[in-house]
Amino acid sequence: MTLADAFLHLFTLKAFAVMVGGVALGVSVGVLPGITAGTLMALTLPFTYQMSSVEAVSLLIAMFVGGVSGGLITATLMRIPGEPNAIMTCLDGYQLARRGQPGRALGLGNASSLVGGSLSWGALVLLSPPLARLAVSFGPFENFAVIVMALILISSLSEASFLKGLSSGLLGMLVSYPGIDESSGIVRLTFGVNALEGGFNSLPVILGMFAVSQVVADALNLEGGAEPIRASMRGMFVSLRDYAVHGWNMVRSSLIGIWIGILPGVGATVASIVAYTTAKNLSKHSDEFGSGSEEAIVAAESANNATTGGTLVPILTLGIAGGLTDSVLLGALVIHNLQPGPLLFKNNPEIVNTIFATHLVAHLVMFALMTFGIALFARLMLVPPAVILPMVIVFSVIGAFALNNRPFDIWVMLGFGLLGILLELARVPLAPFVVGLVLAPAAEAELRAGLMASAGSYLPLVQRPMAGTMLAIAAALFVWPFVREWRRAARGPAGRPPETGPHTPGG
Amino acid sequence: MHTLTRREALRILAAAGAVPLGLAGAAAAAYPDKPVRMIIPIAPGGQTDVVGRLLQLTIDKRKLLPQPLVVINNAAAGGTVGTRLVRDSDPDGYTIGMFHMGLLTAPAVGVVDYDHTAFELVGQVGRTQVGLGCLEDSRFKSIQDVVAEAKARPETITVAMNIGLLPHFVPLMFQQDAGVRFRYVQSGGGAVRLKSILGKHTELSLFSGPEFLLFKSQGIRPLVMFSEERVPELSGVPTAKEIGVATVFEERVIVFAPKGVPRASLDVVARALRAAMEDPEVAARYKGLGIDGVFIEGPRLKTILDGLKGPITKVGDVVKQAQAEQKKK
Amino acid sequence: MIWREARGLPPAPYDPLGPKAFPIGVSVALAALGLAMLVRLLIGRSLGRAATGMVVGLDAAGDHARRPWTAAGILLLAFGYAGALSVRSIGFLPATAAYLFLSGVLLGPLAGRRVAAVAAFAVAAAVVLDLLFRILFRLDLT
Repeated sequence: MTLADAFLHLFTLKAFAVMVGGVALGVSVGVLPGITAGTLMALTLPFTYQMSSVEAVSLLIAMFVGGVSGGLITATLMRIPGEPNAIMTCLDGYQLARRGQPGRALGLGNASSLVGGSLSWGALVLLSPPLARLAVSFGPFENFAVIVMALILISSLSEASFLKGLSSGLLGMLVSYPGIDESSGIVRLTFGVNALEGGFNSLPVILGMFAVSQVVADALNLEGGAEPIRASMRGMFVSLRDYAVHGWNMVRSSLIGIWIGILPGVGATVASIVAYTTAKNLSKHSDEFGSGSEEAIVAAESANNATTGGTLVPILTLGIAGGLTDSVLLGALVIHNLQPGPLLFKNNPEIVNTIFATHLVAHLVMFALMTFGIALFARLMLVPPAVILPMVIVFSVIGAFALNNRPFDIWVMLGFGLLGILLELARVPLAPFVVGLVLAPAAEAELRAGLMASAGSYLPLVQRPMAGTMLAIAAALFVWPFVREWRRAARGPAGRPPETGPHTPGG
Repeated sequence: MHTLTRREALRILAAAGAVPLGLAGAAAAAYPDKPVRMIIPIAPGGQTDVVGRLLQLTIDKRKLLPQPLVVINNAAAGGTVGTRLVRDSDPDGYTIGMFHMGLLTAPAVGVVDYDHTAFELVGQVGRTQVGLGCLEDSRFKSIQDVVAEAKARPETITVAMNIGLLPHFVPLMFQQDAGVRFRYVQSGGGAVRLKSILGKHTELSLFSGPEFLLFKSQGIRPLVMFSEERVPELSGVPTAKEIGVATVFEERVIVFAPKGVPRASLDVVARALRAAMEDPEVAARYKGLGIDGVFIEGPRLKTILDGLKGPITKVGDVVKQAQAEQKKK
Repeated sequence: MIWREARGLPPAPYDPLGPKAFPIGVSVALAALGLAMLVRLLIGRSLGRAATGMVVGLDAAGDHARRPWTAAGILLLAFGYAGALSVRSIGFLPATAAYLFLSGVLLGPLAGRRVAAVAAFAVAAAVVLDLLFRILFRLDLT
């Protein structure tokens, strides 16, 4: 079955229904905080065994795409991320909505999701083999370098208080350590608590810090919150001009997303944060970020959808699962007797092509569904907070538990909810925390694996071309804020160029 | 009225006798009267998980158990959270687990403090052979090359492994038996190690028979298998025994339950599993996956595993010793 | 405000090679940062605020009455919910229904008819959720 056939097949009644159903479910789950696309897919996995392999794959991909995108809605309308990857959208999407332009925020986000997904589709379909080869050539040292680069990039996010941002990041890293150390199999930092052997899973932590804390904050502001985001869907249509203005941002952020998707173990959340930070650093309106910048929304949403295509590359070509969603997809393939790798492309092109076709069409369906569904979701905002807020908690609890079937995760979530509140009160930025939490284990594992291979030598870090280059970039990025600060200070305390005479209007 | 033939009389007697026995059996056969959950401490999609789900599907489809069998994944902490969960749950037979040899290797490295003896063993539901492989165009043309090189230059050959599990242990056993030393690099699961070898970041790794067949197209060549006899699908590959190294080890998928579950309940599950494995579709799938589908019941399995404990502990000690050495550095 | 209690985290009590390095490094760095911030505060320089406050509404800018007790209450209820769930004898259904009801009441004006409506919703939602997740085979109480 060629790619064209796969596309056509998708439009047969049953296949189409399955796919649309999948996207719809995915989006709904994406909207709901607590339950993620991954959880949904894991829950559906048993049912897929009864289906044909083509259907199963189609359904799961549709859910995946829908799920990744849906988080945007709750993020914008309620400032609660429906999915961890929508954290950054919470910032600006919500603010934009508060300023009376929810439609615009949602529309931009949706369009960006579509673009991000489509671009990553292109990469997936056209560039899988070379991308896979590139990914293979990335050994532990390269991976480490990339992660360091990302970490440094993100640390520039909170330049208002570098110290606090850094502390937040370090705190996040610290939280990632309890549990089994990947590189040595040794359990550490559990302080004798058995439950901690599994460590703190990032989902309950993120859920707690963002969703739970937001609910509490909303409860705090119950009176004020009465000015609901008036669901004015004006401005939802994204014009050609908008595409022109934001086009480069979309492409760049998508590229970031694709690349991070290919890297093992990093994920859409980090991708959106990196894209956000990059956009902010490169933007002429960087101060708008955080108070309703359109660029921010575009960057975050393009990136997180772009990871969908990227992440499929290693799954299909190498059978490497980077996270929960990946392993579910892999599981579905394997149970249907399909093994990823070049053989899959050769012997079962219909599966590969179905995946390709579904990926793209699902994005289109998602776009349509979200556009029409937005009106529906906006209605949701009219539901009294007394109902919505507890429901958010309930879903979060379910989601936290469903991940690994342990009640401990629920406590983790609540605990970090508390921590999130405290940190916010102390004006400590939360984004670096998340980044530290997610990236620290990967960075450490890669570096130590590399050291094992090099028998303890750090040399390859600079010797290997890719690793060396990336570390150099990272170092430059690290120094840049200081340089900038220094230059700013050198221009004089009020920012005026020194000794060039009065420029102020009015002389 | 016709007189009962001897045979018929015997049959009636047997039936009559069976009734009280049946009643006693019925009390035990009341199990299971609610769904049984099987915890598989592996991420959904892993090979062991696939086996588990295959069996579960068959059991449910053909009603080999009066109640559904539910699979629950919990991959946290390399599976130890899951196994611990099973160990600590009520011995009522409604919680069982499925895992692989990690159950024995984990304690040897000190990740957990219990091994298979902390459980009742229901049985073994699958077994695969494992071996060492390298890249197709690697500098090693045969396993003898590897041994020679390792002896000449110890600790220079890198082996991609997954700490605490077979890909770590079996090369270590080979290392001990052959009198060589490798350098170990933590990588991860099968696909990750594949990537490591393909990218020339490491030179050797342990793969299962099925994996070799799978990865052949990507350029992985098996050098040696650690089986009793040559693996039929890989007939060109020598066994370790053939080259004079006595390492034999196999990966097994084991089903277990917490201590204290009544033998009768365990037998019910064992019977269901065995029947599922004998299902022609399942047997075909096993064969397709390259898994040896012979059911080994609990008691016999226990003996086998007890026997393996010694060598595993020895290897575990080597690992611990290496750690101690590192500490001194 | 400084929340540097985390400084107290010990560079963990365990044994061999690599596992120590990163956690120790990170805690040391954190401690150093905490110290730096403390010093900065003492010198009188402000610590700066996070440019991006992610959870809206927690900071002072209130032009309306704030309800700290409600907020605390919601949080406590959430903890209570979690606690109820982990006690085996309380099932998902009753715990969820109770939680939804109590939170709903807490968050809203206490009118009789409203209370009844909230109760009805709480029960209905709990039932639906329970069914939904049990069908997908989740024993929601391990």
